[in-house]
Amino acid sequence: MPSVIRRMEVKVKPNVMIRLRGERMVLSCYPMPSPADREFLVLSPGGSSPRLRNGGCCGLLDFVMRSFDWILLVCCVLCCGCKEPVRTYRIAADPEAPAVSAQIPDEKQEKAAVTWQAMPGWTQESAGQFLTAAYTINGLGRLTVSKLAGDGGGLAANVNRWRGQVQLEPLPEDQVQGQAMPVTGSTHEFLLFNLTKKSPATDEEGIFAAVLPLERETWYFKLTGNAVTLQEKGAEAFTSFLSTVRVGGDAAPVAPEPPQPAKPKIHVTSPEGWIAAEPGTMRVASYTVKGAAGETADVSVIPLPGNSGSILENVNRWRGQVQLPPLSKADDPALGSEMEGEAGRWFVTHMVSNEAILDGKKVAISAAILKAGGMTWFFKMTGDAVVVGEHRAAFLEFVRSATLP
Amino acid sequence: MNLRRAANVFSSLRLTVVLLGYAMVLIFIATISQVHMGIHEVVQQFFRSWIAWWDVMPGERRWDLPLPGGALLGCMLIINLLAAHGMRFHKRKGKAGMMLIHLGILIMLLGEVFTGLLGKEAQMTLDEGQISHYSIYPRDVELALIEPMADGMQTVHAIPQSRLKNGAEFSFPGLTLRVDRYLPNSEILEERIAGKDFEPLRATAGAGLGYAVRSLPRETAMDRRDLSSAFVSIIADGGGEAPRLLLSNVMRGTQAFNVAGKEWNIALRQARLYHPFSIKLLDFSHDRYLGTNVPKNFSSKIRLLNPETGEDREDLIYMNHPLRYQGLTFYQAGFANDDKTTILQVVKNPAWILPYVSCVMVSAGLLWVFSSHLLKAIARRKNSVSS
Repeated sequence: MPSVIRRMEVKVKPNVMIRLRGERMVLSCYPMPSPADREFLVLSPGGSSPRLRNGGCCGLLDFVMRSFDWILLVCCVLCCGCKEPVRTYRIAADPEAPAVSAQIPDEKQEKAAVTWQAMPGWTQESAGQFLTAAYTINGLGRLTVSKLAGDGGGLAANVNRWRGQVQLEPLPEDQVQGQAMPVTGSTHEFLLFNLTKKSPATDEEGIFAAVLPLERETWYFKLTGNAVTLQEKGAEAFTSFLSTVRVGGDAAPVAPEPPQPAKPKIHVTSPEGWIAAEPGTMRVASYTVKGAAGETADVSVIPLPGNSGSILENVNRWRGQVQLPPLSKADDPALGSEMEGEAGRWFVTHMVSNEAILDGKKVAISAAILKAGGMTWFFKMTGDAVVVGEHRAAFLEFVRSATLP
Repeated sequence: MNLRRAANVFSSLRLTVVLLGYAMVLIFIATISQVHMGIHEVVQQFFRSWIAWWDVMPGERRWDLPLPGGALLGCMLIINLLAAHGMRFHKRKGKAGMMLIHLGILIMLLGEVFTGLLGKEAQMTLDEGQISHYSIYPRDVELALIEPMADGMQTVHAIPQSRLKNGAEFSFPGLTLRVDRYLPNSEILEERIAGKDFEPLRATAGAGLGYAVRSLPRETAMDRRDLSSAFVSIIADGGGEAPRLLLSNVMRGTQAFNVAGKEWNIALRQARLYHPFSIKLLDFSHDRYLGTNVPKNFSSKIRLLNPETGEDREDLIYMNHPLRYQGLTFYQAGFANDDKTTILQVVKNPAWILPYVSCVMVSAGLLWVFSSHLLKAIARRKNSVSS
């Protein structure tokens, strides 16, 4: 019995193949059938009716291609003709208040609420991502200013973070208490922290920190340096700097100042031409002295309780501020001299920087120290070396004429 | 013959390479343009457009270069893929992997088409303690004509932004609104301090009396919104005076007016997406790494109330942990008002599953293709060893 061929494929043209699948004969064309192929198909004899298949989806594609312009047209009409409808719906009334007036959105950025003044001789450095400002203080360390939103993670958490940085044990939250210091011209106050060991090694680091909590943010002022140096001369520099900090901008309205503790008194007579300035928290008197070319110098009168360091320590601190090397001996003639005044026996000193460190000019300091009545009085004129030199005689007279009540 | 030639072109691999090349160029240029245009504008202008006009020198000189947009490239790729399968690929068992890969790619392309057509992206801004049953579209405004009803409800006629054009009129029972001037982004200033570049048109009634407006370029930054304004005249059916109001999405609330003794309210406001449920913000938390402003975590503790289903439950929305509810996804997107206000991104994307399906199909297809090649290679090696 002859075998029945059930499957057969015959390539009749390069792109046309006839496949026999059981009872059906299928013509496959790759790619599209040409009119000649169609003609061939129609004319081809065969028992079963042949069916044109344009290789799988080609029938659909053929239809799409034939109708492409129509489909495109319909799509364009649909896309262009469709208008978003006006929606109408019922809804519960809004709780919003009726319009009162047209308003322009408040686009002003929140102004820096806190400002400060860097001390002469400090070098500002790049603050980086996390700091607002940073300064290098010769012979003392690095002072940084930063601001965090809200309470910055909490007072205790931050203080203990700093304690960890200087190898101090963390404190329980209830024992983290800073010394309050009012902010000049404001009801706000700093919380001061001395994060140095009682007897630090010479190479150990310490931190003096001040935290200023405001309504929406917390400011951090941090002086980091050698712990021994900080203990010796950091307190005055740090508190002097803090006395320049002002809270303004968008801060809450300032209430009347609470009564301040009475400052120690001294009677001074300012020389002619000196301009009295706002003394601030630390100072009892403050003046601005102007030179012939418009340069200025600052005169301050600051009382500090107790001994407030030796003469050598204070002179070396000032020498550091004008970038002079420290003196090692208490009897060094460069230290200064003594002078009799109305209030007692003064120690007076004068120093000029070797380099031009302030706007391309040399800086000089004339200072006088008086220890009397359990207080140490610091009279100091700092600024352009020429101005300080011109007014040195007037400064010494100013010191000499000061009288204690 | 032309049809055949066109089909050959549409199904060619060369077209695929050209389209993919254009896609790479488009992505590169769009990425650069994102710097000054913002991601939203880039998506609209480069990827959801037929022709992308590329501003070659932004901010310096207007010189636009036409590029094939994402919609055109996507559609061409779909046609190219279908045509290639129709004309060149044989339906054989060995090609099943390739079919699967291409089907996956097709689904990926269609997924973007559906996302563009059906997807919605809105925002819900809630203060602590506030409850809301709608989100707003931050980039679209609508002109809402509100008819207060006696039962405490209101009938709102919301005219979409696309219909707000100069001179457009909209008729409602008893009145017609005519948009005298529509400014997609604008600046409003008091008339006495407005400069000469402000438009001379003024409101004759309402809260906008005494204010002048000037047009501004559309905002492109992600964190800024357009300040849209419109001068709209209210024409009563019986004729008479037609007061002109200045409306803006910067004005709070609505402006009221009377037509034939009936009170209406009108406002130009952010377009709204109403939900059949309400969300109340119970608490917003913003944790930072200690000693820095670097965010550690944002989270919104919310209460979900659905009167239809009786649901009343609390949930926590935080980074990478959105709330998925009734086809909507609520992501933690931002915060404001000293950490007392949360901003939730509300996303509706019915085609969200398609990219996942596509990835699974492409992965399976690749596995199929590589496996079959590996098996063939092993078989050939065995044959060569045995022979």
